Amino acid sequence: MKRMTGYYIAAIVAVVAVNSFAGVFRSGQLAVFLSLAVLAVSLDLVWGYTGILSLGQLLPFGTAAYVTARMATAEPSWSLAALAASVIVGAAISGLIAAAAFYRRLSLVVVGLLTLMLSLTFEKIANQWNSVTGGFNGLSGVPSINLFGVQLSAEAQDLAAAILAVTIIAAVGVVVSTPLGAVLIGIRDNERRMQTLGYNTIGLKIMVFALGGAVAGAAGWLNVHQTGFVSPGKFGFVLATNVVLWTLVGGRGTIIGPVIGTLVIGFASATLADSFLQYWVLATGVLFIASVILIPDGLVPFFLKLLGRPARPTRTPNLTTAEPVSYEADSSDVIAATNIDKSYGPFRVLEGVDLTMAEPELRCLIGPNGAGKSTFLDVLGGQQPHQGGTISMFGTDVTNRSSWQFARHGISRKFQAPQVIGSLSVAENIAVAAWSTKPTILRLLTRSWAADVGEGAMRIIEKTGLDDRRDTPAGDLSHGEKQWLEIAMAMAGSCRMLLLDEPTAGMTVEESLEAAELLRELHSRYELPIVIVEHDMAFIRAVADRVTVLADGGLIADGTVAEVEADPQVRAVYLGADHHAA
Amino acid sequence: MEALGIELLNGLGLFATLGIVALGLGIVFGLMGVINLAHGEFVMIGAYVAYLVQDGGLNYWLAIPAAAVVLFFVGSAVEMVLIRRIYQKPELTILATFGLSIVLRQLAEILFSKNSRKVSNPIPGATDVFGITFPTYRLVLIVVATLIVVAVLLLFTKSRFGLTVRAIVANRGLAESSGIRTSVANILAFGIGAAAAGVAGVLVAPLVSVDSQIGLSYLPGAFLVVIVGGFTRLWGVVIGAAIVAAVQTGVTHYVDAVWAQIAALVLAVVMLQLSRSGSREVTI
Amino acid sequence: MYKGSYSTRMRILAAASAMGFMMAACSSGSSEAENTEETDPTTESSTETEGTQSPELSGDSVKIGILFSNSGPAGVFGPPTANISELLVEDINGAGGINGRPVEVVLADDASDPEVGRQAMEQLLDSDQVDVVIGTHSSATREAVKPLAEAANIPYIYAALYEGGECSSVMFNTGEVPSQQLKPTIPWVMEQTGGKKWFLLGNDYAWPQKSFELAREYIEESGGEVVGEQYVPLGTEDFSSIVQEISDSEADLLLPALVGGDAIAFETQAVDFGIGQDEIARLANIYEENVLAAMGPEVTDGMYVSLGYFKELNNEVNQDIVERYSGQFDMSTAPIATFSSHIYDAATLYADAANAAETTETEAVLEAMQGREIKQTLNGDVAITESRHLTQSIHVAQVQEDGSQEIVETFPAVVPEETCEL
Repeated sequence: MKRMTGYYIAAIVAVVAVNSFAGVFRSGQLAVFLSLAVLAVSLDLVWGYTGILSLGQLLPFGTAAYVTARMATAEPSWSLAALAASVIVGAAISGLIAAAAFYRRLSLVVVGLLTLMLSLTFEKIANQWNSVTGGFNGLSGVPSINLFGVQLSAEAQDLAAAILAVTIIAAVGVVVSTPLGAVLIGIRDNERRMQTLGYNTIGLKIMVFALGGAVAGAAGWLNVHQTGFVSPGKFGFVLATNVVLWTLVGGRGTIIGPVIGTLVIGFASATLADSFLQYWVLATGVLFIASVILIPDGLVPFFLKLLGRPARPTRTPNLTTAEPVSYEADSSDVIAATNIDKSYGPFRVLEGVDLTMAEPELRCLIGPNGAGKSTFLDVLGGQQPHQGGTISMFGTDVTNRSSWQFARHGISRKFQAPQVIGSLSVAENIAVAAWSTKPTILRLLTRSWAADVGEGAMRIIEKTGLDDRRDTPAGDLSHGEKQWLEIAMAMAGSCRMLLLDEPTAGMTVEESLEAAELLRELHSRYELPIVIVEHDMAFIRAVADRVTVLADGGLIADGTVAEVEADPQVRAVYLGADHHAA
Repeated sequence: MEALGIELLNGLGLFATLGIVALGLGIVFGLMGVINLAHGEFVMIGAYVAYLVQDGGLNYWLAIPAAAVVLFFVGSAVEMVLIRRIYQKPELTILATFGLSIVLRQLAEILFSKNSRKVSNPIPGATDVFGITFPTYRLVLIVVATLIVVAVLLLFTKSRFGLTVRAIVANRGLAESSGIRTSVANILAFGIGAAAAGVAGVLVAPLVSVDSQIGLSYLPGAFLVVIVGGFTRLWGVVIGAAIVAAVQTGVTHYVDAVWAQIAALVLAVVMLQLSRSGSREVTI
Repeated sequence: MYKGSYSTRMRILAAASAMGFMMAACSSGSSEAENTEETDPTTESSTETEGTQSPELSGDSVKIGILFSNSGPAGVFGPPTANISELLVEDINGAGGINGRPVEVVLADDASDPEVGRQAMEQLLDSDQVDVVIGTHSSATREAVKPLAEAANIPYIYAALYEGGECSSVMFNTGEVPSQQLKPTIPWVMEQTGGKKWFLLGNDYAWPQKSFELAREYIEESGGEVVGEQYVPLGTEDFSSIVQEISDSEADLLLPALVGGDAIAFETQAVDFGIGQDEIARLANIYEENVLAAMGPEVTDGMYVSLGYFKELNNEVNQDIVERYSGQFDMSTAPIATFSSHIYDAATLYADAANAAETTETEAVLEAMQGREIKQTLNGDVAITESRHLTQSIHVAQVQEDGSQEIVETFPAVVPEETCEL
């Protein structure tokens, strides 16, 4: 926070210096470029923090510019009202686009095309709707910013617009440095993990788009006051791609990168183009290609890497052990899954599977390859929808709820291949998991950089040595460490049940026996129901209270380890299919 | 009745033009998931090839094989130098090919100046079709373009080569382990897509102004076709071209050309909304 | 790529060599303070005096800013403008400069984009501190830059042909307006061809719309009839349905207000469909040299074009310029046409007014501009009207078999039907 305040003050000083010493032309130019930098930052928020490239960032920008132009020309003192309108309109437009894109689960490329097509449509409409938009010629003579009845002079406008732009950019910087920023990085890096932690990732992504739209709207307001006119080009292909170029070259996901990209490329073109005309245009094309191929992450991360610094400084959140949550004991079954059917297209994977767990127990789910074990675990965790049957957990019907709703109900999941958030540190991973208990936007924005972590998770990181590596980016951990980090994340929030898919994959015999011991400890200490999909019979013998056997999408046996091992049907299946496991 | 007949032929002409212009874009997108924003510039190069061939005193029709060869090499080179590095990141291919489009456009402007070039109509005059007089060149264009589109689509859907390419699309890793050289298939697919654009450029050149900006005016139309046809089917290019041509011709006839364009864009937006998965599985 | 960038600024000095123009380093790019700019042209003016025939020129140069499209879709008009700027500097300085001071031209490119144009205008006004701005660019750019000229209180001569209706205290509009291009020529063409039924086809923006509004009036006054009116988006490639509509309308005259590639595509396709010039006579109001050349003589043969300038004009000033231009530049790829000629004439008008006012101070020059009549323009005698537009001759050229243009009729001193009360 301290460092950011420093940057902010430095930026304001620089702006004031330019306005005092560099002359009217440079000051005006700076204000225009800064208003465009705000636009680039709004794209950075969307692209850098959700991973989705929107080519339609001009939709909120241009619409806000037209709204502002109409309002301010009608009545100059409506300038601030126009700002409010711009922000609201911008947020609404981007939010709607995002809702359409995410609820319909459009692919990245389709979203890019959709937003581009929408932008082109808006450009045509702006060209056509003479009475409102001024058609091809646009609207001009827009007055300067009017603050509480004071009409700014041209010089004051340059300064005020630049300061406002820097302030908006700083505000975005503050937003992404809150816990919300870490959560957004989590969604970008590993959306499935975040859903499984209980985050409504679609809702959050729509919110980021809306926020990006609001910022783009503010940029449109600034830009139209600064340039004094608006024309259909505000939705045009040229500006749309320029914004992408600035963001790409500067470094997306860094906030400061796109600002640097906009200013450097803006001023460079304004100067160099004079002397080289068509060769300069050629050079910008080459720059585009070169930056995609050579520095796809952008200049800011590139230079940080050269300096040996991480692209994003990790901040170690303060982790404290949470008060254990006690659930009212009730008589309902822990799990009651009945008659589950699941198919992928024509392929039936599960057929009428039942699973009941009356008391918290440590249950292993076994079966030969292709029996449907992982799919069944996915259904139990809400990661995959199923076609038939019902699921009830702790007495609540959760049939076909989404993944994050299962998680909010206390159902925690660990995947076969460990799913952690690579660009966040170990401690941040744990904190993000713990924050999922109160995942509202307002709470994430305002909460401190600390987390109350479930006791089970704290025990895991202490016992596995992860505690000493709190600052390490999770992407740099070994495979086994990632396994434990993921289990710790699963237990960091309001975990009432663990679903584990092959937790010992890749572990040595010794390690897997230690794992068995730790899992038994967690189970008995917290009366935690655990369901484990496993192959390793030694491990299963060491942990399981009870074993359920699946084969060919159906349930064939259920009982203690000894009972199941003696079952002739099970023996037949295993001998026929999988010698190793038997 | 005659007016309807002519509008039908006009619609067919537009259908054939849109189809051949969008063909390469559809192949490259459908098979490789790459959005080639430089596709319009490939069309532009094709048009300049037609100009150079005619300017050099050669027969216009020689430009078709010439452009196909030139663009095949251009396309292959682009795949090998540029696209290959960024397959995994679809959004980066959008940006890289956008940069490429600027480079090609500026090179054309430097080489050929800003003035537009003239490609003369190789078959001037009109022919009677069922009592309707229609420009002969347009009739030939409808036939030639349709034949090329169908031939290329058959190549991809029916031939061994096409099956191989689609096998790669369906499962890159598996294809590689079964000994198929995926890199060669990629080069061929991109090269053929570019060659199709080049042929499109040759065919439209006698109808329009040949200048460095020509690609920009064709690209949105080509995208409309690919989107409306649905990117997951190669034959979607044909369906898309048919729908867009029908909408454009119909709205231009009953309302006007400006609304025709807006109507086509809105249609694309709606189709994108309806495209359920947007996934890249190619079905035929 | 950021179009904002390529504002071209080239300083054209009196000593410009035959190879073209000199490019001075962009003043704004360096860190020099702007006031040095005013006083620094020591090096520049020494170069200037060397090459000029009028060594008596002294003092800081008078800067004429030219805002034009040198890149982007309208970029084709750029090269002739840059070329003719050199000749106009030679000529003004050769005739004694402005109040004994040499003139200098600063070129700025709007890249066919109003936002780029606005930035270029700011640079002309704030950084280059020009004394006057002459512009030939789109109306959209004009709308974007006009408030800047007003705020800076610098004379702004918009010299492109346009839809009319401008009225601003710092502005003069010297390009043709639709009333000039159409009022005398519509009845003339009807008489020449015997046609009465008009079809109006334009790109979809203000200039064609305004032109057609007036054309309807003139057509009806002359006993003609408008049988169809259509607009197409800029960048249209396929005109088959439009051609069909024109054909169905049974028009015998066509007023095509199409620009650039659209015009070329339309005319090429129209010939294929059998509605070329032979079937429906054209009175074009923007088909200029480049566009006609790209259509080819088999398409353009016989078309009428109505404009305020053709390089074939046989007055002395024009013949001299055409001869010198042909000697220095390539008249076939970058011919002088209406836009570039208006740049030359606007500069001549400004120099004449500033000399009469004996100052370049804005109010005085604007005062002197008002009602000014001069004879030495490329289009012969012209006069500034009370409405701040230009009374000028309008010529109708007919395209010949070989693609050349021949002036077949001249309407002298056509008064623009504009009003302007400030």
